[in-house]
Amino acid sequence: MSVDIRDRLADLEIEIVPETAQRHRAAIEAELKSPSPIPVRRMRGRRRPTVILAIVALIVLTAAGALAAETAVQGEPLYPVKQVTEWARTWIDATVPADHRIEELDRMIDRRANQEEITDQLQRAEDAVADVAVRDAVPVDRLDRARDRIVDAEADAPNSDQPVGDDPPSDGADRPPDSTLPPLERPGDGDEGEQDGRGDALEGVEGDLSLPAAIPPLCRRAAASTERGETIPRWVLRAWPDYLPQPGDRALDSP
Amino acid sequence: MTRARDALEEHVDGVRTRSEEAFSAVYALMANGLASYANGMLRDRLAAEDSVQQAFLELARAAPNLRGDGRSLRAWLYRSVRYSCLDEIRRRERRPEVVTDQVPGAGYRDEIDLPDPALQAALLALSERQRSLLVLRHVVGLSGAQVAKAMETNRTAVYAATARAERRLRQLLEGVESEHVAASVSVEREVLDER
Repeated sequence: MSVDIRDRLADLEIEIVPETAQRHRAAIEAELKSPSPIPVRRMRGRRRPTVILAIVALIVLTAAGALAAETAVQGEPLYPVKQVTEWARTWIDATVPADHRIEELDRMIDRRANQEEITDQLQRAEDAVADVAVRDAVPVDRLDRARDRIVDAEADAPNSDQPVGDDPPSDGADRPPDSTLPPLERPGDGDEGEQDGRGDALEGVEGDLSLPAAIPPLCRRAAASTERGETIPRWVLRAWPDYLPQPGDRALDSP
Repeated sequence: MTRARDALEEHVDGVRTRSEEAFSAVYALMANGLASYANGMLRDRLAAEDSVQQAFLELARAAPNLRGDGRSLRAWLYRSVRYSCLDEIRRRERRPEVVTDQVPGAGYRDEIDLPDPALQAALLALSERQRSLLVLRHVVGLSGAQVAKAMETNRTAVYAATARAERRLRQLLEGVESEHVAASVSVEREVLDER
């Protein structure tokens, strides 16, 4: 049967008649005499470097953008880029947001951003640290150092004795003109009328903490967290030397 | 086949440089095989010859980029014919079928060069790939390796697929022929009844 099929298929075999062959040869010769077309591969070869260059440029630009965004802080144009890369990196390392928020806090302190911004950033950093499930991996000590720096910056301010809102003295102090850091006010400073107003952060806190009225909001919040039974950071004591340890305090980091 | 392959290898360099002598020699060696293949695919002698010419014209344009030896050149030509056959088949499928009493022109020449109607019907029922395999193996007479290179597959797949295609063609032929026998018997009966 197989032989039969092959025999029958053999009927499909044809031979090109000489006239047709002659016509074909003439057409082929005409094609060969025409100018050699641009080889297909050479065209591909011209296109290929362009494509490779475009891909490399895209990768480099993306990487450069991501790198530049690493130093961005809240409110800057590249900050959304940083958030995207951070979201991606969070899949690998859950502590990345906490790291970033603390870095941003450090940068804002370096730039002497105004206190409201620093306070908001500190809040974000604390939230980010609180969101990390593995507490050992969280750079809490860096957060504490950042808090210390905030207090130091406030304490080192040349117009620390001036009331909030007064113009800084023109003593030639090396301070950026756009700085809006208010002076750190020591306990006992300020008028008596404000001493009882301890700020929203202290609402519901029991006991007499003897808070000064004009103590900066950061210190007030730290005092509130201390009241919740957390460790008293050294910066609280430096900012507020008259603080008396309360029964809920677990440890005291001596200044 | 061996002789043809050796001859092709002699002309590969000439083809790359677009030499008329090399093209002429390659045409002499390959044209009939390519035409038979196209004829098996299209069941149309004129369209088959056109596809052969088209393949050589494309070779003339792409010759400077040709790589490989004589086997690659052979596979390149068969692939080119195959693609132009597929284009032609697709064109025919798109073309609306018009019933006419006029003399068949281009596109209606299927039965001209294939006197075996049962084989024609059975080949039509095969897939394009099965038809290609059978024609390349049993009409053109290519080896399994050559068919594999032309069809861009491997030799084992060619042997297995060819066996399946032969089996299928055999079944189809048996079915078609039995229908033909039944049809011819009924026609004979009608003639006898009329008498």
